[in-house]
Amino acid sequence: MINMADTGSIPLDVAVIGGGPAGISACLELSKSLNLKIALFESETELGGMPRSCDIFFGMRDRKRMYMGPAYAKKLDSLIRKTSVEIHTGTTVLHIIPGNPGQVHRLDVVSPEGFRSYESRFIILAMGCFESSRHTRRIAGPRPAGIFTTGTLQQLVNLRRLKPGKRAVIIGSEIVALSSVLTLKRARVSIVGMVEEYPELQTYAIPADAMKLFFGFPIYKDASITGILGNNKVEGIELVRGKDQEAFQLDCDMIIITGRFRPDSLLIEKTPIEQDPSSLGPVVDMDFRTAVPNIFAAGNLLRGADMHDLCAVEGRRAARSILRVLKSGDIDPGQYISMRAKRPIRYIVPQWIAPAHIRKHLFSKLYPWPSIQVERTLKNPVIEAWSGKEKIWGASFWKLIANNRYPMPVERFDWKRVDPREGITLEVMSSDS
Amino acid sequence: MSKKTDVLIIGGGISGLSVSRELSKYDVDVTLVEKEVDVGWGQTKASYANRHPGARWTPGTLAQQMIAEANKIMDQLIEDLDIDFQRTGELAVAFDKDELESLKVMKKQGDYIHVEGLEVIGPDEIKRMEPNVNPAAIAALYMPTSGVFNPFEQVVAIYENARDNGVHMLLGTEVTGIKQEDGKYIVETNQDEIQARYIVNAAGLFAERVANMVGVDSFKIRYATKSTCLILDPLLGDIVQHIVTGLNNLDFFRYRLVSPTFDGKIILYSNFPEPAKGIEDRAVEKGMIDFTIKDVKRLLPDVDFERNIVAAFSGLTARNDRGDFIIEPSENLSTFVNVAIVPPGITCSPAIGKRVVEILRDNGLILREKTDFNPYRKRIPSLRGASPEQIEELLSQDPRYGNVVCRCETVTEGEIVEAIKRGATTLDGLKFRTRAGLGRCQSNFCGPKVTDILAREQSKTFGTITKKGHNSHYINQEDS
Repeated sequence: MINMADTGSIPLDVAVIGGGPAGISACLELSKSLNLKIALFESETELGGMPRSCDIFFGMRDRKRMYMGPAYAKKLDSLIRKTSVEIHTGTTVLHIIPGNPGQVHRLDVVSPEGFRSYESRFIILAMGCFESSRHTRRIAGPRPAGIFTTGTLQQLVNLRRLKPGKRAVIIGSEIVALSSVLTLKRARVSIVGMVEEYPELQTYAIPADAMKLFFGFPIYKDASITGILGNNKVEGIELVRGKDQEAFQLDCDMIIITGRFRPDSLLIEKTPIEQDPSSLGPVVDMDFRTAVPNIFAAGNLLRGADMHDLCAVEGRRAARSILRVLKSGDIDPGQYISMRAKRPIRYIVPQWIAPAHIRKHLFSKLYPWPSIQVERTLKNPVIEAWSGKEKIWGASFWKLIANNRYPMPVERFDWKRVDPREGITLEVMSSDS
Repeated sequence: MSKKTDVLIIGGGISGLSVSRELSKYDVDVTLVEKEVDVGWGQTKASYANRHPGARWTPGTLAQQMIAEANKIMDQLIEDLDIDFQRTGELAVAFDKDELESLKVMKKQGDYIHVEGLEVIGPDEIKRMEPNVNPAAIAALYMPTSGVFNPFEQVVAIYENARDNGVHMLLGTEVTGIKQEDGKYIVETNQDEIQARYIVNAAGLFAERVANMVGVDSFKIRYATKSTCLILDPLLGDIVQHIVTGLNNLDFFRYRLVSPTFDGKIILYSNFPEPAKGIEDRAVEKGMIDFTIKDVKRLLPDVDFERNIVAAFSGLTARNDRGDFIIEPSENLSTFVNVAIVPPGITCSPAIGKRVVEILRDNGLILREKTDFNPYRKRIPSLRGASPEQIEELLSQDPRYGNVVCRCETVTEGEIVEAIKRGATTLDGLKFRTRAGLGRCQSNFCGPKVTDILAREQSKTFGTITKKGHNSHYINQEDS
């Protein structure tokens, strides 16, 4: 047992940071093991994370039935409240100070009740992700009011029951853009159009086209924004489209910037927890361990947005890894090989893989692990895995849709030819778009 | 209704506010008008806020003289007003022989006003100090006294202190005309009429327009090109430790820079070659962001700027037809003082204040020192960088300092409420004062929450809260 009485810190076995699907699911799994002191820290005043305000269906992969976002959040909330997990909502983790190997990790947290320090044997990081701002997407123009991300839109409409405008233009066509369509319709905002900078939709074409037909808004592909009209509030948006750069204008009072999620990893900046410059989240192995012993990470923190139920599965698996460590002292990793992705592959997660343990991680397509995402929709791409000068795997695909997750069949890699010092690099060798 | 005042200052930017604070040390009635609903929203806000030692400015210019004078009194101001400042030092980097010559000129210019520690260093030393700088650099001028301010806090600190010392601050008040009557000025505004004995014209980009209102046409304001500032994600917070600048024939309107900010981020700055569309043009043009990245890549070639831009903003920088500071009474109208400066305004601010006060005194304004002038102002307390004991102390006074509203910048409800008490009336005003929404998610999460708090504290509805005054409502509920 850990005794921290003299330092004024509160001892914990596991601290889980982030009360969304990944964090809550991790807690649910951990709480099956008796005698563990588990605490969940959530900066919002309610548990549930993004699904609280999200208009999209999911839940099959962890709860075996479909839920709308808010119902799913409620379900997770009711489940965790039946456990012995300490729940700290409205509580923000200010710092993580990882301990040396074999030592506990410190967390400083703050809430209106006060400042507290905890010392925990294990940490699960599950802080989730956020959408890129207009500036990250390099959208030109002045800075009027009326430009929101999907997340902000859904906070306004679904948590506050406000109608934030009358006519909206949606920027981007990832899955989250379809979620914003549903939210705008719920708020009775008319949709002037959806704008995608690439010639291909960045999600499945069928639901997007179906929605377009059903709700009657145009989709402008291969269109880029040249300006925003209005200095004080949005009055419209200027675009050019196609090869001829045909200029046109849409009147609107709201611009919804959707997608391009990135991990909310600020808390681990300036810690020894290694980050991946491509995923922008922490580097993990197949058991969700970060570069710092006994600190794990799961969910959208690993790479930006994916379906909430997938995050839940990951949270649960990270928790199981901890339970395994507790039971047997450590996870025997065997040898680890590093995997990196080159653009336009946006990431490969996990970044470390133990060839000897691949079999135990072979799951169904519902849970692709390891997996990749591409930055933009690619037609007929050929993807290859290389270790130094050795090609160890290759495959061609009909289409890889942006922001969709594709499993990497690492069991088919030619592991004998992998040079552990070189690691593995995944590359797109050719594609039609 | 007409208000009467001794000195009317037109313009609530760094210059006008510095004059107002300096005047607030004396027993004289001072009024400041600003057309925007908050201070510092002109050029000041879009500044990269370096403190310049003065080596870029030519000896003999008023600009360089002001820089030298201001740097002597700035440290006191920083202490009195509890302002953020980091002395990072600066490397001006040369890539060829011509640029090396420019460095030597800069060194001479700096030596003229006795800038401390100037030193031309070679590639090895550059690499040691800034490993990410382009290895093609052949030399750099190291300027150890350069540093970075928080531009917005600087004006707000001066504003709060001047107001506490009795200056009447009239925001959202735009001057529309000035008449002269019996040796007084009758100033028409979009609000009440104001009668003043003296006028200080510190209207920045609009200074020429204001001067024209009384028939003064002794200078012209120029604003040829726009500058772009990009803020990078904290992920790249340590790519440079010093301000790193490139040269362009010593023209400080056309140089490029990578600089740490006061809060541990990185700012990129460059000038866009296309002309500005007008005096109100602050839009970030298509291509400006790419241009800036390309431009600063000459300094730091191997940094992944592209994916790590958090915010982009653009501004016009006023120049004038004389290419130097103009701080002088108008010819034939000695009670109308013009302040039409060129960069670096923030560096020079305390000296500008002092100089204008001298001019007013020389022209008959009687200035008796107040006995109750309070030179001090405290910043809004925050959890950032606070020790556990300080946090506990803060929370024991107000538990709202434990409610983190902006997660990217760790801004609490307590800070937002305090900023509202101190005069913030808009979301942008709160953003610049507290940093809520300035972080990597750009108010994606905290926007609605900050709006809730502002509405609650001002007993308004959510729909009436604006981003920056006028009709910039956060949500549009108008009937169309």
